Amino acid sequence: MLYVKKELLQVLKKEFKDKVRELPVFRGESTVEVDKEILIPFMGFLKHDERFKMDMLVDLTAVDYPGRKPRFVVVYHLRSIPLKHNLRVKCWAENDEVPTVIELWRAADWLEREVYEMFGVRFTGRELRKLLLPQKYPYYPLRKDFPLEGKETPCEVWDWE
Amino acid sequence: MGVREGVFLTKLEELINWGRKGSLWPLAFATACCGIEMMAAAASRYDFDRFGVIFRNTPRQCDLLIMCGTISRKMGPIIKRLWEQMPDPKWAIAIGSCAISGNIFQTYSTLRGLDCIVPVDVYVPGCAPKPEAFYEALILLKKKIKRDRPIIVGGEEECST
Amino acid sequence: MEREKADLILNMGPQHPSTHGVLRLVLELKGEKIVNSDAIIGYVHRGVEKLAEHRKYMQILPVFDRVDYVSANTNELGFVLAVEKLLGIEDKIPRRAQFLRVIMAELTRISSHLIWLGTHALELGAMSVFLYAFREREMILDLFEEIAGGRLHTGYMRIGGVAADATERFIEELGKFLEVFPEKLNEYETLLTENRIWLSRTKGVGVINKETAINWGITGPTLRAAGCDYDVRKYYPYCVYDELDFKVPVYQNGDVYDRYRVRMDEMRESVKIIKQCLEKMPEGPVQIEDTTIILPPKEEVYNTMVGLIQHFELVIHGITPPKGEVYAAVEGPRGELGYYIVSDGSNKPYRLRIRPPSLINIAILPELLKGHYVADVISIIGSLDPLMGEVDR
Repeated sequence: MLYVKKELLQVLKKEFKDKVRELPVFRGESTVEVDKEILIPFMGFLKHDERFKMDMLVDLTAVDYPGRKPRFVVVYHLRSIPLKHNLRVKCWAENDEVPTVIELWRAADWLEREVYEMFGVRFTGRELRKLLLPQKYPYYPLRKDFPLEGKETPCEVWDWE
Repeated sequence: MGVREGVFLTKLEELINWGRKGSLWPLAFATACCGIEMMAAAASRYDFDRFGVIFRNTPRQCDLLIMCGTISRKMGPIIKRLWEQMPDPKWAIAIGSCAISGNIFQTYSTLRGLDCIVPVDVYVPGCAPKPEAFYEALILLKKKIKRDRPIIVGGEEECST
Repeated sequence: MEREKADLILNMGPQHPSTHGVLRLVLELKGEKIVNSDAIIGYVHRGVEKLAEHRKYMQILPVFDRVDYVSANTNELGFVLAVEKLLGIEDKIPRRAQFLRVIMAELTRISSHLIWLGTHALELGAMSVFLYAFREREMILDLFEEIAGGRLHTGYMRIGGVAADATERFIEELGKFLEVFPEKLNEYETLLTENRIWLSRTKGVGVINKETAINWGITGPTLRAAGCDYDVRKYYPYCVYDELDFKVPVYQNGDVYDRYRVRMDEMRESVKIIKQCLEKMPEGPVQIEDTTIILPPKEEVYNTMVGLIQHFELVIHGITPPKGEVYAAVEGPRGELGYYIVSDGSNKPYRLRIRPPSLINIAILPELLKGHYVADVISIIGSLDPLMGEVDR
């Protein structure tokens, strides 16, 4: 799979100075890490700039590292259909909150809802509702400290709503 | 409310049982993978129509619930409601490992089998069972219905196996 | 924008003959037109991503058969490609295994599109097409049973190759199937493509244009019916797709009728691909030589010490990829199926994410249904072809 070349990543570093860090390339895939404060301008730059033109949000997910503070990292996979390159962007969720990218890519709508219900990461700037689990479910299943068999929940939680 | 045995009544019972087992009308209801095998069982090569089985879309007109697929906890109350909407006499067949015991999905959001919510008459093991296993289930159910005693008092204990 | 007031709130519940599984739609109607709608999913949520963190790499492979249950081989192929990329052994897979993988993936694509055709036509009233499509699908399932042992859940792919070689009978039956199938496709087209009722129920309904589709992240036949030629097999080829000659059908209108045409043309292209594979497939092994990744053959296990120890290690401990993360994608019948694996160096994945094409394709439903009639809902859902096992995982 074609990922953004090293020279183009230098453009990002020049534009956003030290708030963007490049992570080591593994199996040909380039990844950048971004601070939460400049996430929206950064994503807007990637979408509209002529050298990047990332018009498709392929996937949005999160990973849980319980030993670290902040605990969750939100991972975005971006793609450019005309230029055919991809990029992975990571953003650590300080205070378990991350700004929403729904204004740029509508694909983020249901994907952010799923990350919210599975991990508990809030996305500021939009309304959040659970997607796959019932609205009254009290836990966040994909966290590492939640057991596989689940915890006791009263029957009313699973009722028709 | 006792009705004593006699030749006329036993023959009447046989007639009633023959009518019931010759025209079992199941609910067209499939959750997951086994539903595809049910569709294949109702389609060209393995034709269910020659057994008198016509799939109906509303539970008010059915007398058989064929449960195909994994049962999630969110789906549990809905299956219970469908079961309650079906008029008596009614039977239930649990198809596949997921409907018997939950299969490999022993997680926080699955029910461990259909008999948590509904009294099951026939269990069909397999993942997914071939349509020939569906035939076996149907024939076993017909044999069970043949042993039924709908009119004669005290008959319920006999068909409890 | 002002929300129009609705007269009636209608629930198309999880149990419905035409919602392709357990999809629940709450429709707000004014007369017969829909003013607002909401899609509620999660009725087959099985927690597969959580389950994958507690199983070794080889143990979770059969679970992915059951996620997208009509295209089992494509799911497994995606996972196997991701793990092979993580291990760094992508170019060591034998050629014969790559061709067999492509053959199975394309047969799966035809089988999935036949189910789509049968159920879509059945819901719109053409019941004979359902019976014909399933008759052809039984031929493909016989082929699967011959080579892999299972009709629906085959379990054929392995990390480092495939499970077993193709038998003589498989090649013979496959040849017969490829001769018979294109005429059957012509039969279906005669029944549907110029049919007045079909045209009036599908032309101009559910239009999604190219920019909207890309913004919503839609991939697969829905995107190709809207005018964009994105197909993972052409943009980022995997296995031996770069050596094969095939076209990607693209149409311009983006309505239900065009999606139907795209999938019918894709079935013809798949037949062409399989024919080329049968001609070009070389003789040779079907599994990688390295027995620290794949189980050694049974003669070695029973007769040599090394074979026994390696078998034991693999079954009890499993493979341990290096630390890192990868994303690999394949072109499933519904769109781009991607796997994002984060490995921490142990024998279980730290995080495994499935990028479900059906979930992202139906996210557009609440927007798309506004202004349509209730009867169009059936056409639109059928044409987007969601599979609820993949949506909910």
